[in-house]
Amino acid sequence: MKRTLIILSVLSATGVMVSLFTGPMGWNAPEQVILYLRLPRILLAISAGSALAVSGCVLQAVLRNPLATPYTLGISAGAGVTAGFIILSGISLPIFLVYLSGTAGALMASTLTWFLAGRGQQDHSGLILAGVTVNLLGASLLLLIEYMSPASRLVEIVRWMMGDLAVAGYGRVLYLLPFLVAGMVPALLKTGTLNQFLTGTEMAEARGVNTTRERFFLLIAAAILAGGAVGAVGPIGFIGLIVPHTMRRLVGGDYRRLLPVSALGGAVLMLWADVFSRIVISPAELPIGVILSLLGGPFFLYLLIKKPRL
Amino acid sequence: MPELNLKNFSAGYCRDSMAVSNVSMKITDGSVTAVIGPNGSGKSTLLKGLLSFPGIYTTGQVSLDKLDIHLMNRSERAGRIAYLPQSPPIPAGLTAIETVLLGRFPHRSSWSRDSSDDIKIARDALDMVGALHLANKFTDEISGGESRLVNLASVLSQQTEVILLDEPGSSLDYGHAAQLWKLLSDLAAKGIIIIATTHRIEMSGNAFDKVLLLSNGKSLAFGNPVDVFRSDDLLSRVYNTPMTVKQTSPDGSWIVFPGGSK
Repeated sequence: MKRTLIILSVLSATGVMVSLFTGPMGWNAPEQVILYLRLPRILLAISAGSALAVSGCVLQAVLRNPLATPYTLGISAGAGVTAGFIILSGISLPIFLVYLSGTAGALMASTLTWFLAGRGQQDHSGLILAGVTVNLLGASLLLLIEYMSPASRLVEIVRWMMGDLAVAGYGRVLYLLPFLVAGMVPALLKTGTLNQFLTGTEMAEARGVNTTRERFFLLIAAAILAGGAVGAVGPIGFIGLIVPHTMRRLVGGDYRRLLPVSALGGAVLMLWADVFSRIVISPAELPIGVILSLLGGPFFLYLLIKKPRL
Repeated sequence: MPELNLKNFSAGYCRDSMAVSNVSMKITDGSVTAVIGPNGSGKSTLLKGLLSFPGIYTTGQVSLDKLDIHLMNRSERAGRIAYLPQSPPIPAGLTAIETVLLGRFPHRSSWSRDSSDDIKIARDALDMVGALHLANKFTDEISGGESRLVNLASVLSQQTEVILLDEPGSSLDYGHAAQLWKLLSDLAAKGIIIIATTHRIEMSGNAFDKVLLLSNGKSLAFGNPVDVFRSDDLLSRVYNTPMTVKQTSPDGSWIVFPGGSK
């Protein structure tokens, strides 16, 4: 545990340093560039990375499925539909409302998933099937939106789906902050309850956990974290899958250790993925979603072959 | 001494057809009660109904020390009644001692660290089931029978007055099964009420003090094993096959097997 924390701390500190000085003009960039472009970008990467990692970590326990990610609840599809619709309509909204529309779509989709799954009365597999249904529904609507979009808007939609950390100022970081706090605090306070979910609903109930209620609250916490992150940076995938599984190997499955370490791990992965996205085809940037998908695809395959349990 | 009382207790997955109905029994001191009966007779549903799990409907009364169990709040109930299902999932990435420590959940806050008392209780529980040597092994690296012992230890670490066990001896070898029933007997002597479903009466020796016989969701008999097993051909009728029931001497262990003659 200590070794992992030290490694992650070193990686995050070096990630911050490298990120601060990566980009046009490198070390010699003016102070304004560092303060208003690079520093908020770093803070955004840290917040969104930890939010997505913790969201995945929570969902894997609550749904008792090692392949669960924030997108299992239909979050990506929901955000894609609302963002796609706003881009297609060409409505000029204040930037805050643009972020909020992505978050609102994500939260509406997870609510729909929850109701389709019988409000937690069914077992967790019902919830996963409902999530798949909502994802398919959202994907079809998004296809329809894309088909109806003129080429210029289509590019915008596709670009949004790839995720984006480029910021000017602290608006997006401040937007994400309340979601981060509202999701992270209950998740951290409920780490013992998450441990109980690992032993199945019956054991958890017998040990005093109101599984229906706790599952609902923890799903809300996960949806708030992922919804906030998706609104701020777009539907960046795989962090919620890669980070919890890697951390589980390093610090074990006790959520009292796993959850905080995953938050740190998510921040580190997002930071470094962002650094690479700015280096690979420098001076241009590769969308961070592309980097993480290239990493996440093989990782998913690895999980499929290794068949991890929870 | 705790007192567990069931009056016309019924439980099932559907309001209209209860899987087990009208069970009445009173257990007034520490004892081991074996719940036996054919597959589908309602043994497991009875245990789940006692804890009113989500999705289970119940009617009738069930009280512990005159307090209605279903009116207790969950943490109070978890502090008094523990339960081990037939085959709970084995959490990966946890060592045996960490798995046992999960049983301390009702006695502390959700996020707090394990106290030295918790760790001592968990180690003692592992020792009681003869699995202390597994303490630092990961639960996904041990055998099914060993996992069963670890889960049993986690139930013991909950330190309750009542323990409900669904097929506790399944997947245990002869030695561990004998050890398990001996342990349950010892716990009963300390005043703990134990109710365990089982298909293998003979594996339990003479560990149980009472027997509840279920068939098609109905309670056919409840009482001392001698009275239940001596009832004329009751087991043969319930299992729909000739059964032999004998008690060995000098320790009084029960031998039950299909076929043969008394």
